[in-house]
Amino acid sequence: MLFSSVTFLLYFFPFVFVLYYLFSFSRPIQNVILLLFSLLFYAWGEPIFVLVMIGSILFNYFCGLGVGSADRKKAKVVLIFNILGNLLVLFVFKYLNFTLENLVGAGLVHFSIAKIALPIGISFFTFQAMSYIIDVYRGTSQALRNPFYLGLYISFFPQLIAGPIVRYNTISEQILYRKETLRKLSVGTNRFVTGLAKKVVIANSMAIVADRTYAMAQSGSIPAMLAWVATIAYTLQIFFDFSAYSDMAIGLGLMFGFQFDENFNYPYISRSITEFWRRWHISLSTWFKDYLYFPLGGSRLRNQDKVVRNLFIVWLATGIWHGASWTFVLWGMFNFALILFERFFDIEKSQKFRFLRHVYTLFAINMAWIFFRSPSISFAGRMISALFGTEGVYSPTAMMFIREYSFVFILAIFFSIPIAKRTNTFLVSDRSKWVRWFFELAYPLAMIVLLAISFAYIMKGSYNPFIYFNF
Amino acid sequence: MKRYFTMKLFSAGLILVAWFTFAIMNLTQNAEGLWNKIEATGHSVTEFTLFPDTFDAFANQDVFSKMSLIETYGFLQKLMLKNEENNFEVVKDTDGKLHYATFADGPNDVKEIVNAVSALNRALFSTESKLTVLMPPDKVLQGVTTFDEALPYSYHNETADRFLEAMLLRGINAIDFRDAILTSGIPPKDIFFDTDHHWTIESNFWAFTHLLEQLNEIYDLDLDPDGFYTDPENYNFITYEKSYLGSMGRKTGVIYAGADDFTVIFPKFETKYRFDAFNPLYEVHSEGRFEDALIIGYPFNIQNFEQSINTDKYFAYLQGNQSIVTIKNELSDGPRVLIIKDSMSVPMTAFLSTVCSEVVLIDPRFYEENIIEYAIQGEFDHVIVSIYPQNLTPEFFDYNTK
Repeated sequence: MLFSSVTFLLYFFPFVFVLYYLFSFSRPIQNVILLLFSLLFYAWGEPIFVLVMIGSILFNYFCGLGVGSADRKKAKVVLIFNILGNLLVLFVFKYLNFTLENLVGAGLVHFSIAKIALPIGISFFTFQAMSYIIDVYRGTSQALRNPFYLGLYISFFPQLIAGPIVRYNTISEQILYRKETLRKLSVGTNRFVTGLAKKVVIANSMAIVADRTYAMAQSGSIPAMLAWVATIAYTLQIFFDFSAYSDMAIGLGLMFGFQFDENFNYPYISRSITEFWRRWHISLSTWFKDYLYFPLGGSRLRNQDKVVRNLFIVWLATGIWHGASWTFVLWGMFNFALILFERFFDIEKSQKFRFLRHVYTLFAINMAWIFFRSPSISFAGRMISALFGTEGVYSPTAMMFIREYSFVFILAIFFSIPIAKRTNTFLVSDRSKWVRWFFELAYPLAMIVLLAISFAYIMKGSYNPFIYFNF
Repeated sequence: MKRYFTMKLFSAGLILVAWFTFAIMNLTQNAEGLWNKIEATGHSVTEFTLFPDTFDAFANQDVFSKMSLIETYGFLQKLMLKNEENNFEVVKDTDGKLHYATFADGPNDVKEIVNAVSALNRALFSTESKLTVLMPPDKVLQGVTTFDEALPYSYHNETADRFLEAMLLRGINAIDFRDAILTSGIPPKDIFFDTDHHWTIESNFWAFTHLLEQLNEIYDLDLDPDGFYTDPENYNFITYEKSYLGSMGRKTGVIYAGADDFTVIFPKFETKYRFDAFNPLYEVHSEGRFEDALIIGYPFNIQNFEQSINTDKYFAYLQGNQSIVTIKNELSDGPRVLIIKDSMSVPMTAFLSTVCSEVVLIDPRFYEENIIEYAIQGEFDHVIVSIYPQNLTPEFFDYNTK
C-alpha cells in the first residue's frame, strides 16, 4: 500500500488513527493494533510476503533472546548465526537470480531457476532487524521478551517500505514509553501533508519527464539537451520521491507518538560528495557507519590502506544494498572513488572555490544517478557521453518537456534548497507583529491547499510510480 | 516559539478535520457500492491474494466528489499552461482540442489487417454482397490540426494511407472521408468535438450524405434519387449548448478543456423502426420513430449539471457500442447493409438506416461469433468496413478466428 493512494488516505489511515486513539488507555493494545495493521499494510501489496515478514520477526525474536543471554560466547554464536540468516534471506530474495545469471553467463554453472519476486522493502526491514540484534549484543538495548513489540519495531507501517531505517536504539524506549502529544500530532500532521504534496506534485511530475526521456533515449538517439533533461529530472525525482516518503514516514510516526531521526537534510546544497552523504539517506549512511564501517576500524586506523579497504567495503555494500545489478555496484564504486578523491585532496576542509565545489558536487551527483537509473552499464555510458553532445545537441523533445514542466522544475529546484527551514526559522524569530500575523494565517491556509492539491492529484489517478521496488 | 506551535496545531487541526471529513463522506457515499462491486467480482475478503487489488481498483473508481477533484487537477494544469495532461494521457492542439497521445516513431504495420479485409473480400466473392471500406477522419486533420513542437504525434493518418493504398492494390473499394470532409462546408473546428475523440453529429450527418453519393457512384445505385433523405431541411437539429464533455474531457474536466455543444439530429419525416441489440450478457429492444427507437433521450433529460455534462451523449445514438445490432426500417425497401465498425460510425449508421430496409452493425471487439460466416449467411447487399485511423489495429479486424 502506498501512502499516496486512495486506499491509504481514505480508508486505512483514518481507521487506524481513530482506533489507535480510542485505545489510549492501554499501550499494549495500541501496540498490537499498530502491529496488526502494519502487517495488513504490508500484506496489501503482495499478501504471500507477509509470511516472510512474520518469519523474519520470529527468527529475530528468538535470536534476540539468545544474543541477550549472559553467556557472551553463546551470544556471539547466535549473533553470527542471525546475521548470516538475515543476509541469506536477503540474498535469496534479492540477489540469487542475479548471481546465478552472472554465473551462467560466465559458464561456471549450467542451470537457472525461476524468477524470485522481491518482497517490497526487504532491505529496509532486514537491516532494521539486524540493528536490533547487534544493539542487543552490544548491550545498548535489552532483548524484547514480547514478540509483538519486536514485530512492531520491524514492521511499523510508516517506515516499513521506504525507511527511514530506524535503528533499534532510537526507538526501543518509544515502543513502550512513547508519549503522544499535541505538539507531535501537529508537527507530524503538517509534515505528512508536506511530504504528500512533494511526492504527488513534484516527484511524480519529475518521474513523468525522467521515465519518458529515459524510454526515448533507450529507443532512439540521445541529443545532449534530452540527456540533460532526463538526468536533471531524475535527480529531482529521486530526491523528492525519497525525501517525501521520509517526510510522510516521520510525520506518521509523530502522529502515533514516535520520533524517528531525520533522513534527508537538503543534500543538493552540498559542496562535496562526502557532505552529500551526510545529508542523503542519513539513516542508511548511519547504519553502515555504525554496523559496518566502525566495526571494520573506520577512519581512525593508522594504516591508510585499511581505511581505503573499509571505505571500499562500505561503498560496495551500499551499492549492492540498493539493487541486484551491476549498475548499482558501479554507482557504489563511483561514490567510493569520489569520496577517496575528496579525502586525498582534502576537498571538504578547503575554504576556497565554494561555488566551484558546489558545481562539481552537483555534476558528480547527476552522473551518479545516471548509473543508478540506467538499465545497463552500457546504456549509462551512452547517456553520459550523450551529455557532451556525442549524439547531437538540440532536441525539440527536450524543449517540449522543459516547456510543459517548467513550473514543476522551478518548484523542484526552489524546494531543493532549505527555503522551508529558513521560513520556519524566520517565523519563530522575533519579527514584526504584522509579518507574524501574515504567516500565522497563511501557513494553515497553505497546508490546507497542499492537502487539497494532493488529494486532487491522487483521486484523479495521476501518474504515481513506486521507485522502491528494487530496494 | 509557542505561537509557532499554536499555528502548527491550528493547521493540523484543520487538516485532520478536512481529511477525515472527506474520508467519512467518501465512506458514507461509497462503502455499500464498493462492497457490492467487490462481491460481484467474487474476490471477497477471504480471497486474500485478489482482494487488495480489487478493493484498490474500485476505491479509486468511486471517490467522493471525484469530478470536483478532476476539475481541481485540470485547473492546476491550466495554471501551469500545460498542453499535456497526466503523463501524456491527453494532449491539447493549438486550437484547444484534446487528443489521445501516442508516442510513435512511424505508422503502424498494416499487413495483418489488410490480410483480414482481403480474406473477407474473398469470402464475399461467392455472394452478391459488395465490400466497401470507409475511412472516417482522424481527429488530427491533415493540413489543419497543429500542435506545439514535439508533442507526441500518432501517425494514425499515415497508417490509414498505408491501409487504403493496400485496399486499392487489392481492388477493394474504399471511400476516404478525410479530404472530402475538409471541403464539406463544415468549419474544420466543428468537425470533431473539442473534448471527445469522435466527430460531431453534424459531421456524421454529412458523412451519411457523402456515403450515399459515393455508393451511388461506385456501384451505379440510385439511393435517395430525389435527395429527400439527405436534405438537412428534412431533419430537426436541436443544439444543447455547452452540455457535453467527451471521453477526454471527462479525464481533464471542464476548466481545462471547456465543454462542447451537442446537436441531436433526427428526421422530421415519418419513420418506423425496430431496434435490437444483442450482447453476451444483455439485450436491448426498442421500436417506434427514429428518435424513439434509435436515440435514447435519457442523456438530454438529466437535471443535475455535473451528471448531465458527464453523460456520454454521443452514444445516445444506437446506444453506443453493442456486440451486434439490427435496425429494421419498416418503411423502406432499400438495401440490406452489414457494417463492421467502431464507435465512429454509430450516428452515421443511424442516418444511413433511413434509406435501408435493414442495417446490421457488428463490433469486432465484442462480437463472439465468426464475422465472415455471418456476412456470408446474411446475404447482404453491401458489407461495409468502417474503422477510423486510430483503430487500425488487429483487434478491430478479427473476423474469423472465433
